[in-house]
Amino acid sequence: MRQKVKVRQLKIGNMNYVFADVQGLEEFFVYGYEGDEAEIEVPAEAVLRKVLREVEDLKRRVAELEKAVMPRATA
Amino acid sequence: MPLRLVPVLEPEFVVEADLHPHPYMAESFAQVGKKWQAAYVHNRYIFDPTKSLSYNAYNFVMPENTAVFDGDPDTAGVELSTNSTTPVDGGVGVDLQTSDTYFVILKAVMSSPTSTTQANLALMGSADMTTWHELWRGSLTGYGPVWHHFGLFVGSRYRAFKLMWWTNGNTTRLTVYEMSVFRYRRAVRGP
Repeated sequence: MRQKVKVRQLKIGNMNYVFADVQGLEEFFVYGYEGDEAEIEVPAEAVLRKVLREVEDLKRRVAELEKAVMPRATA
Repeated sequence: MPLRLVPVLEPEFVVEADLHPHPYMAESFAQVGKKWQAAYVHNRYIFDPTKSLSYNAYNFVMPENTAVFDGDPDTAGVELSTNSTTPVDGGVGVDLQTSDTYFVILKAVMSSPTSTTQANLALMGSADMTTWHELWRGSLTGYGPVWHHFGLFVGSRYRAFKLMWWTNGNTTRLTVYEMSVFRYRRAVRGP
């Protein structure tokens, strides 16, 4: 999954640093830089892990909702 | 006349001749014994860290942190801690002197005592030791531990690599076990 993002430039001491301006991705690598843009790619494994985590979160949420609804349903 | 690929030569890494050396992550990556195993374009390669260009190299970021280039993926380097919200050095850096196309392998772990931690670890590359580009980033959300274990082909413009990391303000720990850098070579076609 490839996408273009803006870059973030930092100057620390006498060093210049160029980062991809990205938040919230578990893992990615930079395919290339062009001007003020970076092309990044998210490895398929990282996408899979993210989706599996979301599924687990949803399962937990469903279990919580079921627990909240069941007493009312059986009352 | 049929073409053939020469066998893989260590420490140089040989792949199909027509692959363009764009950045690329190994499709799967594992530690097998004291070596690395990477799958790349339907082929599997074994890398010996003791035959990497970075084996016993000078760690210009933290010279006393020699374990990260000792060729043993099981020896832990210096454990670092930070709560910096701006990127700081991650205790590992190697200068190969010449720009080339390299294959960088990393084994590291991040953890935090705080559940709300968001931390990032980045591999940086430089052509001139002054301007550094982010090449890879892995993150930690929550306590961890999160193991970062990957192999990345890097384009031809960089001569040096180092790690940087930062957090959302919560204290985070980082231990790097090994970073290996191999030179990427295109396959030589036989007669």
